Amino acid sequence: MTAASIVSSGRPLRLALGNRRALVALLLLAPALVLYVALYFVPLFDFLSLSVVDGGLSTAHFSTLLDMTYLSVLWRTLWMSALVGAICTALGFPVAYLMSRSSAIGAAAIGACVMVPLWTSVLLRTYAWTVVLQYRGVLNDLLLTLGLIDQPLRFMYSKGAVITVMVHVLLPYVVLPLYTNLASIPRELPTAARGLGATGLRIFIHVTLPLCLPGVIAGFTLVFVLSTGFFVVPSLVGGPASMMVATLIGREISENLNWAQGAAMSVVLLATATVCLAMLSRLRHMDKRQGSAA
Amino acid sequence: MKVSRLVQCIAWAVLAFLVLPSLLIAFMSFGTDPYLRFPPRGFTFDWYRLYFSDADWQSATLFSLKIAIVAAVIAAAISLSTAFGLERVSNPRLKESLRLVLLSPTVVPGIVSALAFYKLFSAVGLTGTFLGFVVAHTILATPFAYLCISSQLHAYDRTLETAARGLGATRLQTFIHVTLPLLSPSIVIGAIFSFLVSFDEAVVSFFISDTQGKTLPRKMFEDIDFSVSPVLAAVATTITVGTILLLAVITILQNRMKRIPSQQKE
Repeated sequence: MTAASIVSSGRPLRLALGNRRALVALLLLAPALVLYVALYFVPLFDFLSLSVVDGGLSTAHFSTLLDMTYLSVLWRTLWMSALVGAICTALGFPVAYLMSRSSAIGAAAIGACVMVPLWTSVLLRTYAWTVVLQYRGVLNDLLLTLGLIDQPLRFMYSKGAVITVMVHVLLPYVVLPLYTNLASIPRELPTAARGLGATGLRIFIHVTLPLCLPGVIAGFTLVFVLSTGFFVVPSLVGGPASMMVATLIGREISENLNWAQGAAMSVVLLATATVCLAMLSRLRHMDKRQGSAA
Repeated sequence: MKVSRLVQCIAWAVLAFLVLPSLLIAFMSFGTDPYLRFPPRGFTFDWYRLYFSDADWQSATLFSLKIAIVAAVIAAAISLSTAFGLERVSNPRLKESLRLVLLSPTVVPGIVSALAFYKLFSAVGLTGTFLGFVVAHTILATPFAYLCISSQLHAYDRTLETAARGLGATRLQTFIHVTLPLLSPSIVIGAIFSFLVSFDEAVVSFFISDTQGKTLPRKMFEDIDFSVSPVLAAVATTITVGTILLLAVITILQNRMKRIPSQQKE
């Protein structure tokens, strides 16, 4: 087709314009697509595919995951992540609530206390906790000075240490969505409930809590998913009895050179994260639709 | 309605739990003892002096800074281009999938990304190299820059561009003199967040470092296990202060963005 024929008839011209638009879009998207596909998705697929290749295709590495050694770590990762999520939600709620009821300056101050840790590296915050929790660390010193204990306690390399530090690292992820949620609740609602004779606790259970449930669910899910993939914290403050999946994957590959097994666990970890986040986004869509219907 | 005293107390206790460990480290980094102790004795800048003069710490810090700056600039540029590109995609389902592709590094657990990069880089000899780190960190940081830039692209008043075109500006002139200035605070914010993501990144760096090429987080990772030296506390405090300064810049830029005319809400 010549240029003249494109210009002369209407339809091809529109098509050509549409193509031009598509071409510009493609050119603008090209850097990201090339970078992501060639240097991220292909390597990811290349690594994860090791889990099913064993001579030919095989599911052997997934069956191995049902051994007690692997299964116990998977199970521990799940319950510890759920516990971290629950603790973060419970501790984050009062903070978000206070923030939503504070003056602009108060909210900004609380926001800074939440944002600065959020953007400070996980490694630095884990390091700070190792200094606190060590055998000759700050906490033991304090307890000894106060006369509460006679000799230092062992806090490090335990599940308690891992959970404490993870809660510290992940708390901001609950506070921020909850705050947005709480701040959007009209202040008249609790006041109206009070006017109708409800007490503080009843207002909380029947008015505030149902309205901020989306924020609670979002915060909990986010923390749960991030917890399941945590590597730095369990590696540094955890011991063999508090090992989590990400640490086990790292060890399997860097120490045992067992890439296939590491890849199989990675598939499980990635699938868990994807399913949880997909459920969360589905829930949000439903929530939005309900909101617009109401 | 007032917040009950009990809730207030709990909230402040939680905030103290969030902030205290870093404050404690900062406090202890000035002590004169050769190991960390609380409360610290004496006052000295020696550990900071040691950090800034030690060759190993210096090279790791400079390496991290270089990587983070380059990764931040590339991430911001790619995000800008992608944000404009996605605007031109009219099929909503395609648009949503492309957005998901772009945000995928935030969904994939760090350890999985780390091993994917590790396998690729060790095959092509990129472990411990500047190029390797820049590639990995750019991919991990781009989602953060993209979220900043695209939200501003949807927020500002697009009639300003129409007005410029109506007054005779060419497409390029409109872009340079109207669109870019309106977007620039969000581009800078996106770049700063990307910088922080790269500079603090520990998991991928842990795997793709080698003995010659290691970033600051990787060096800290090694030292946390072996030493109780206050130098580490000085390093941690320096980075924390730097982070706070960058967050302050972001806050100032965000306030400036509020003055940009935004689209009328329906």
